[in-house]
Amino acid sequence: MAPDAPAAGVPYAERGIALIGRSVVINGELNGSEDLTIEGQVDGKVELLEHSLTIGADGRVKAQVFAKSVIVLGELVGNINASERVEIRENGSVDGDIVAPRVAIAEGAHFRGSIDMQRRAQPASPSPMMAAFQDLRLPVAVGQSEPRAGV
Amino acid sequence: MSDGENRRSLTGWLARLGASLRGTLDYAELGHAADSAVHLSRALPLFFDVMRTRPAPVLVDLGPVVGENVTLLGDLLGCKVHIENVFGDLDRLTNEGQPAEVCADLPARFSHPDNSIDGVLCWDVLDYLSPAAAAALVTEVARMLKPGGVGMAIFSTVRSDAQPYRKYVMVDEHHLRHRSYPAAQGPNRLWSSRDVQLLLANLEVDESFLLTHRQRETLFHKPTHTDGSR
Repeated sequence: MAPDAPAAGVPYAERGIALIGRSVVINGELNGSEDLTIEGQVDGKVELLEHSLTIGADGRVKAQVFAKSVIVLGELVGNINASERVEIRENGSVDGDIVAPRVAIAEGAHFRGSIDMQRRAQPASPSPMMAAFQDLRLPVAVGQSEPRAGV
Repeated sequence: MSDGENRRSLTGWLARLGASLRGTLDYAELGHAADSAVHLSRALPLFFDVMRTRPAPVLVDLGPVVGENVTLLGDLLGCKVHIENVFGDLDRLTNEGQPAEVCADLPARFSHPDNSIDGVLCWDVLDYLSPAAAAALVTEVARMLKPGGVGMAIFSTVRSDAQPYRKYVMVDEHHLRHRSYPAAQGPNRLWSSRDVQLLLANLEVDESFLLTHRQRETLFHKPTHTDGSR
């Protein structure tokens, strides 16, 4: 389940959430392995693959975003790729394309773009050993019968 | 008959009775606020039926984004939805005193390739466009739809006292909540059956339901052959 927007009064650090404050402006690439809240301005790319990104009500982000879940209360211009969920809250604004299995858009939110919730089959990623076996096209094992054409 | 079978039988009978009653009454007033009544939709379940036959369907919604619709479409169809919000453009241009501009912009507005879209929702747009703009929009819909691709439209046949703009919110795949909003202009015209036929002349109308709340729900598709035969 996606984390809730940060509650007022509890320091971000105590909740294990990194914060980019209102006066901070970042141009470039942001990578992290903890949840992040942006209240400032970020231009570039944000990558928190296993974690959640919250763009606070004062946050202004112009970036490609990759995260587990994304909550938008401020403004985001750019595409979002989330492995779990994207939420655009009331007064939140997103201009860009969203790829996520679940998307929630509140009444009063702004959105322009496309929303891709297509269920992708888990990529068949055989282990290297299995792949090697498949490539070798091993003969049928003893005791198994080879399917006949037309059966 | 076992207790379990009895329960299942009773549940099934009640479900059939409910469906039958809804069919008889034609719509169910589940909501109470005048501007957010819930109505039974006859075309929506058919639209879902067709979309379910397509793996990972791609849809275009010509109206503004409605969060409930996005969530339901994702849950039930696992689809991709392009939100186009043509009405948003019309509203903005009307406020700027240039409503006719929306017609000029339409051909260049949609970047979707020909024959690339499985389904189109055009239920909160056509009422508000001029006849020329509505025709231009339908031309674009016909271009974008895959052969056999399906569209659902809603047309008003009477004036409403509600606020000028109406969004349709999917309560489930059988019901729509009609929610009214303030807007720069109300419906541009009312649609007769003949008007709808002329508008959709390049497409094939599968079903047209004139409901008791005086709206016409229309389900149409793009012919699979250029000569119009199926």
